[in-house]
Amino acid sequence: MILNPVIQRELVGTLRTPRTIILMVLLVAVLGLVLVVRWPSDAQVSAVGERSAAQALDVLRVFGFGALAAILLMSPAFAAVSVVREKQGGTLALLLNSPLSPAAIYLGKLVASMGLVVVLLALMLPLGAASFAMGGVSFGAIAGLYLVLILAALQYSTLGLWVSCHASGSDSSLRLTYGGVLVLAVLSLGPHQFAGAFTGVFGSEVLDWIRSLSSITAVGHLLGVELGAGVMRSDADLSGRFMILAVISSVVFAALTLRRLSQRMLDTPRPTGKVTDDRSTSQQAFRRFLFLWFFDPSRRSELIGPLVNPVMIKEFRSRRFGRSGWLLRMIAFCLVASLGLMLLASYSAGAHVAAEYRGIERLGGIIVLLQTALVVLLTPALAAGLISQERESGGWYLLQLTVLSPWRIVLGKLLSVGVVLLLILVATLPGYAVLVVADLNRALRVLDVVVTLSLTALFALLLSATVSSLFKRTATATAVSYGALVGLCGGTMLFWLAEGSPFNRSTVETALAFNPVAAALQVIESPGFTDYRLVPFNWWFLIFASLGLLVILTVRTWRLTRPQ
Amino acid sequence: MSDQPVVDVQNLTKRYGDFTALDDLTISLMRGRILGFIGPNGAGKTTTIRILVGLARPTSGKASIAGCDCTRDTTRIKRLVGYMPDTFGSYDNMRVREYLDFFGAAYRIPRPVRTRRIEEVMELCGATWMKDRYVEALSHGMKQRVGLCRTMLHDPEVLILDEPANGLDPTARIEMRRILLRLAELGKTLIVTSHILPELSRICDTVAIMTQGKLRAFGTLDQIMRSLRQQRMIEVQLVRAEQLPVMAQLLRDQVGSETEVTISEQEREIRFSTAFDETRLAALLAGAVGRGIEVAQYREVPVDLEDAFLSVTRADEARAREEASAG
Repeated sequence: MILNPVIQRELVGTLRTPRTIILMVLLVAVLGLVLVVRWPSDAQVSAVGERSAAQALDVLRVFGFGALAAILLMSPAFAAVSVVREKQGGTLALLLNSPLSPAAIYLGKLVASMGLVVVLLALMLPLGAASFAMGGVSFGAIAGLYLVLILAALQYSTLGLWVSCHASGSDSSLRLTYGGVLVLAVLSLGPHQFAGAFTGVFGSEVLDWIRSLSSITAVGHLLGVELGAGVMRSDADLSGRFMILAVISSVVFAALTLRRLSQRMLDTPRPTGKVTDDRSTSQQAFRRFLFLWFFDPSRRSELIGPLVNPVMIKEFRSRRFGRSGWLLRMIAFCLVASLGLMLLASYSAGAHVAAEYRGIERLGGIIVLLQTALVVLLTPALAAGLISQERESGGWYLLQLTVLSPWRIVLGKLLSVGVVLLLILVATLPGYAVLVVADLNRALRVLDVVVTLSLTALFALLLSATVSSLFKRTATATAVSYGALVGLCGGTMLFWLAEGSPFNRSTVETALAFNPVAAALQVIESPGFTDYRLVPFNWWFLIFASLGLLVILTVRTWRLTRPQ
Repeated sequence: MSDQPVVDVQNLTKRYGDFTALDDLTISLMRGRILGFIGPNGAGKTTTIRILVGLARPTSGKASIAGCDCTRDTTRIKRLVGYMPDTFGSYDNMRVREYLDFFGAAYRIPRPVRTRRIEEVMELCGATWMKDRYVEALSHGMKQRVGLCRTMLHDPEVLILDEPANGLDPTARIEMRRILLRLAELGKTLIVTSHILPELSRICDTVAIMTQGKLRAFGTLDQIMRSLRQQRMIEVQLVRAEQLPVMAQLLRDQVGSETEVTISEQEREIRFSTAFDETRLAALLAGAVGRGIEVAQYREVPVDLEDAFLSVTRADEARAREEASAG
């Protein structure tokens, strides 16, 4: 297998790039730093006793979740661009024409992607071994953790390769892969929140299996982390189930990828671009009815009007999501999801009325999570290529040649994403209606949540756009934007997950004060967040950070438009 | 105003640290002329173009288009110049008409004028039939046409086209040539870079040859040929091959013993280089005929742009070798 030239090229080629080494060292350094901060002051090597065992477990928990965060961040990134980059560069056709079978090509890419993970985990091994050295943590616990981490990486790598076979560009592949990882690792925890809606052994069993899809559940269960919401508390062997599901899903992703990986994937016709206006009268009438005329993506568009920013319109037209048809679909999805959640939570609350089940608060928490997930998932997808994509395609030169000012270019680009985000957030607002109807006093709190989410969206937009102006490649900008946002919104949650052991309340509150999701959850009084005081500090942080990013973005764009 | 050059470049120099990308370039171009900008990769062509269109600042020197300083009046320059880079700069999911509409709006062309202008440029470039096609789905040749449409959209005085014929099939190349000549007829001034020299020689009336950031030759095609080739290459074809040595000896006697004479027995041909004018060449022919040599053909081998370019680059290489050996 080592003679497989794809492995040699991919793995050695990737390890040769300074960026990969820097990323790995950075991840290990950050995790090491967190461990040092949380290292118990009276830790004794090989000490025996309950206190030492508890401290060692605390350290292992920090290490476990930190390593998982690194896997979540890194393993999809390399796999997601692996095939699509070859397709774009024209080397996939050469590979498929070589004597290498599609299975060998796939195996080469998968092994190379997993090889990077193995190198990363090997670099982290001394950090994990620290808890073992303290005593009280068995070798089996560390081995089990490593097995879960490797299987999680396998699951995300195979997912990334599958997406990469279908995507048209590196950045879209990254977006879709990270979206898939978010569904597998985070959103799969969601249905368990509605445990009340599903009664009986079958219902709870199904929910247990669904949350077992998440590597977070598996690591939490393995390390004995308890959560108020009960995400990881179960009598079932959640980590064992995760291992089974990870292997099954990896095999399914691999089979789907192999089915796709052939010359056929390159044999696609060029779209003819037939417009509705040129179709027959009956077809035109049907499409007008179907798309309510305005939303027909294939109608001949009007020329750009005198009062609108042409860059904004260009962005809408050139972006698949920006086209009116797609916007309508996305808004409709948000509306349906929001209303569906409301109904589900109401039903869930009704089922638990005698068991002190606070369904209303939970509903608020779920809607906040849905909105934040949308913001975190969509914003980098829409904004991380705003400038880098122009530079990549050569469009930036053309923009420089026009009489558009840098500020007008930036404004047009920001508006094109801002409008989409606004529409999506507004579409999810009906979910809050039930909160206000149930208790009018909550109206002000909902308003606070809306403020938090709006600031979050603004911050995410400016962060992604600024990152986009700093990198030449959209794939890199997308990965960095996702990394920064997930790090802020998810990374700080790791402190919350481990409150009490090893992090104390003050540390957790300080970390969460920077997290807009935690702030919104606190404002809506979601279970687990009611005791913190995160607002208004979080708002000020988001406002000042956004202003800082706007300044960087403007200066950077101005510099990019200046003659060299 | 009409006798003033439209493009005026004076002592233009551009340095990136220790590297000199452009060294004291001076050229000027009158309205309606087509300048062929030739040079190997890294010769400084793109640097010159980038300064002319306001994308780069010169280290020293001055460049102006229609009286506007390319460094200071960048906004006016953007309206005066249409630049088609060698990369297309397409946007996904956009139709050709939408693509042109965006650039029209970016140049602040009012909507009613824009509608007419888009139709005009598409008509001129033969791109009307592709107006509803997606830009990214177009072939290379089609994209070049759309790129040309975009370049002409704001009706610039000067068009700068970087490798417009690159990657085009023969039919598309002929069509592109027709479009460029038509633009010159319309009074546009064109600066065209290309590595396809025979193609360039068919459309350009002025040529600039650059190597290593320096201008090596500039002028009309005839002027360049004359300046580069002081010696002319003459070809003599005889009826009988056995007379070739006699003819060779006659040439050495008449033209000079150092003259390089090449004999091709199979073709019954002799080639020699000389600085003789037409009168002396006629006397040479008469002398050969007088000695009983049967001449089938007697002609000057035409020198084309490719020869001129090779002559310049070889001289450049020789100079570099000399400098290296001296150093």
